[in-house]
Amino acid sequence: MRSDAENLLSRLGQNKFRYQEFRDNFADMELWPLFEALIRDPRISGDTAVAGLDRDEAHSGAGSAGAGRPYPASAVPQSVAKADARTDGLFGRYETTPLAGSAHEDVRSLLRQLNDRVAAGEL
Amino acid sequence: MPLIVCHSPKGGEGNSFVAAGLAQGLSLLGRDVVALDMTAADGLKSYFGLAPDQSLPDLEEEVIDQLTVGGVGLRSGWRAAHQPDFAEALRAGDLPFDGETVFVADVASTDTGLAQVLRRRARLHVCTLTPTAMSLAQLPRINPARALGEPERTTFVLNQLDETRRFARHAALFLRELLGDKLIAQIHRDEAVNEAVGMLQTLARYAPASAALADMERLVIAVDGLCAGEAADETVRAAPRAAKNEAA
Repeated sequence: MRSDAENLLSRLGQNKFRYQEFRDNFADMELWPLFEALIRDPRISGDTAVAGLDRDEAHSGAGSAGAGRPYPASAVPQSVAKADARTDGLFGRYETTPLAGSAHEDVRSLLRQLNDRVAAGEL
Repeated sequence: MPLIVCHSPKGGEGNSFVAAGLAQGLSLLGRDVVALDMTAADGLKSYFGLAPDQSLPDLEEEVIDQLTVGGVGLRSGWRAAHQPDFAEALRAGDLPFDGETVFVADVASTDTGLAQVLRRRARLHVCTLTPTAMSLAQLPRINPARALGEPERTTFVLNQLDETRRFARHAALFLRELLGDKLIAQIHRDEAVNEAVGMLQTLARYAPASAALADMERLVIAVDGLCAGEAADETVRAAPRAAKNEAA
């Protein structure tokens, strides 16, 4: 039982409640693009070949902020690149669909696998 | 060398709160503990019920009357840590991070250089995160080019968790999967933490039944266990070296 629920019930002197935690499952989790970006980030996966980072460099702090490394072309949102051509409001230039449908499917597939593994008792 | 470094990649995550709670909890477990404020903000003392005008003795200062709260010694390491020869002194063992005393260091998020120097000598690095998008976005900066799941001495605490918020629930779920055993505790958002500082009291005194305090107890027990495990590992690693030196 969660500590705050336990404290509340004990303060109220209630013992007639049945406690159950409803946990989100992976399949219901929102497909936040940030989560996908983190999963793919080589600095999190430790894939130095992809990151182009040497461990010593990273530990000396030189690579931690990515300073001096050019942004990959794909990191520049197309909507920003086309900003000058837009006239529909100041923030209109930020409107974009940042991820392709296939990328969403990748995350959905990963979450489904995780959910299946939880259901099977492997996680 | 019982140094525990509390450092987050982003400010406002509750790093000082976690450092203070760890120091107080480890002291209650019978450890000899010094809480080291290595930040310019000087905010660690607030979680010990001290007023803003109360200054902490310097780390390197010879102090006769120690400033202790609840058995925890309080020191400021800000000045010492920004001396040019700090890293060298640390390497040479001139700083008191040996022996039985547990030092819990609160390092500012922006002070990444200091955090790296200290982490090399630390028994444990405790990284506090919050279930917010901005906090998660900082994850790649913690151990660049090193997988977060690798067996390093970095552990994570999810602070200010409010499960009534959708993103927070999903972030907690995501972090549990991403970090696995490295996520050693989660602390629920609790206004009592803020109110205790406002009352110039420790959380344990102001709100002993608070949810955050109960969560903190779990964190303390986890950290104490990890430190004990690391100490045993260090002994095992040091034994062959000692035998070799003796033979030579």
